[in-house]
Amino acid sequence: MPTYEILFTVRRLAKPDLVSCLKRVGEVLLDNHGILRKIEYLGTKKFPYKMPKAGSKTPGLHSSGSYFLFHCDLPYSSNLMISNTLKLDHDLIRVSLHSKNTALPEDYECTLAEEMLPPSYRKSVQNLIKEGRKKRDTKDLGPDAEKW
Amino acid sequence: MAFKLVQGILKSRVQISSVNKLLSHEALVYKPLIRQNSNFCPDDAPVSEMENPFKKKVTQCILCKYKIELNYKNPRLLSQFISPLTGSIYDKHITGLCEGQQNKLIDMLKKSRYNGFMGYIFKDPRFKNDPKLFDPTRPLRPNPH
Repeated sequence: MPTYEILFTVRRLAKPDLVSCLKRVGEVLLDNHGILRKIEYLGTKKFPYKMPKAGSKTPGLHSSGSYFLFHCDLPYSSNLMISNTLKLDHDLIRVSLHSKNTALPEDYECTLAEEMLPPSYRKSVQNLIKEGRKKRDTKDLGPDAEKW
Repeated sequence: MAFKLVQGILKSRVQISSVNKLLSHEALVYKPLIRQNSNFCPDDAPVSEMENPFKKKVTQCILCKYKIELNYKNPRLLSQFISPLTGSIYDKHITGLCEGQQNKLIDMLKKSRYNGFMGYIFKDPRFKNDPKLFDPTRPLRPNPH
């Protein structure tokens, strides 16, 4: 099971409502065969822009709210189900599910030196020139193609 | 006067003939110097399996060089690569990043803007005095478009 980060913003709520909201989110994860690792609170702040609830047609705009981060392990199959069910919740403004491994692969090498070369020396351009000169695959029109 | 002139010419002829003799002499013919002494030290010989000392260092972008990871929860780092006037992302010919890092930057900015860590159309004034990594008026490469 791959590890995920579920980040969501909750609208301004009283404390008991907020607790019940977080419990609801946790139950959705556990119901879909997930494992909760950690719960983080990232603060209650003013948003950088007025946020509407994603996907809703109601015109309510939220100017402030609180950020929460759930670290959890989820199976691939329940990935989509969770994000869809959480988006239906009225108290959550934005919900997003990110994979934890955001780093570039270990064998990645910086390609800046190659990109700074003049175009004819770059490998990407040389490959393009090769592709352009390739003959196009002729279509197979059957044995009687010459008669037509 | 005429006698003196004749004498001078004769002298010059004599000199030329002496030079010709010298040229033909074996001592002036080039011979490569070969050390055949017993004092010859083998350590002075050029090392064949040595790396090129004049090889240029491979240039790397600032994120690959210091191994800094971009993350959508770090708006302070991300906002160093956006315009302070419009909040839009600078292209890679200005930021000086390699293609992989630039694509990752675009991806991370998209995520952090959606989740409400950063604005779409402005740079956070808290980060206005952060060090500038590049000068947008003097791009490294010409504009690709």
